[in-house]
Amino acid sequence: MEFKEVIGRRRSIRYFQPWRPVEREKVQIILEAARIASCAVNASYLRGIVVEREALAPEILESLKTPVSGLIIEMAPLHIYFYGDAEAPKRGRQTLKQLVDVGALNATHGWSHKFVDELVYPMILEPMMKDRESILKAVAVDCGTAICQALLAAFDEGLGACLTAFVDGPVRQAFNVPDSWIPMWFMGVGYPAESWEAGGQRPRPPLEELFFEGKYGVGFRRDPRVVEKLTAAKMLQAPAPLPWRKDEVRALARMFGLPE
Amino acid sequence: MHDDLRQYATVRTWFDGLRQQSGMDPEADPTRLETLQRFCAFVERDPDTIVQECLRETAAGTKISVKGRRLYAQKIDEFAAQAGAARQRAAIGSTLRSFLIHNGIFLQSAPVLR
Repeated sequence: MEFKEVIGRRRSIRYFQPWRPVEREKVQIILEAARIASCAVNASYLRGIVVEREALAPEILESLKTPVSGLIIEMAPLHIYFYGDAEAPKRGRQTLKQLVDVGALNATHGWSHKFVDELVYPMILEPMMKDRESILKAVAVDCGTAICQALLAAFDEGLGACLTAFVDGPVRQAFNVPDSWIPMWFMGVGYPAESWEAGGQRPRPPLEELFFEGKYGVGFRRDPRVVEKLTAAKMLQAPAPLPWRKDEVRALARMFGLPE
Repeated sequence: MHDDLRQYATVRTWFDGLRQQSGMDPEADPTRLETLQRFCAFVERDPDTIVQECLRETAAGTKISVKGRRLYAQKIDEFAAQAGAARQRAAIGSTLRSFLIHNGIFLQSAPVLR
């Protein structure tokens, strides 16, 4: 699938084929995509626990459910519990010097081993690691970037996925999660039971209300020719609700014995 | 309790929700109201009281009563268990959960996979 179409097809899938496992090869592709995402000081913040729903004892599966995510946890054959490692910046001294060595951070831009050892690490990274708010911000942003790559990779493999919150305690206990890990998102993955359109592309505010040119208040002018190009490339798709969505949801409710 | 459950505000809210959100005619299947009627007799409560007991008033406004919701989720399972086949039990449970859901009581159930 072309990149723009992958972005266009990505939407939260909430009905899965629970009987159909996700191939291990595809799971690895998802994780590999997350692994090479951009990350501050190249420290790799994202961690994950991959679990096959079928491998979970019923009482463990039950303990993982929240009121909002229970059905997705039940239906998705593959679970990925994403965490952020608060200890990751500690590797910053080493990873930054590694980037100098591989030609990513160069003297052209002011970088050297000495700069890392004598300024960046003691003056920026070490103080940051002592401030919980700074750590959380860095971890959350970089985990979000990596999770997004994982999500898009899933859709590129013909899968569906949905991100949702999860209750840390039971997950931590069930899967032996290290203390330094901060909960991020649960990703339910599987083959969709609903159509790939899932009722259409979900609503978003107008572009000019989100992004601004030059200064806040001057909305970014949206060029209709670009919209046309992105529509042809399938990044922008027919908006929800598609005319048959309610019929589809009713059929899914009946198929799975769920409320209408 | 009224003989015609449509006299209860929560039943009218349920039916409105089915029409608007789910795009269906709730009157087309009379078993819907019959199931709720039998459940009300089972728990000895009218529909409005059932919904009220799933809510609680706080200083910040109306919130879901976790205790109330849990109780009725359990009662729905007990009531549905009286039916025979798994599909029938699921249908009864889904009808009753639909009533609560369209009245703003968030509930999820496990899918029937057989």
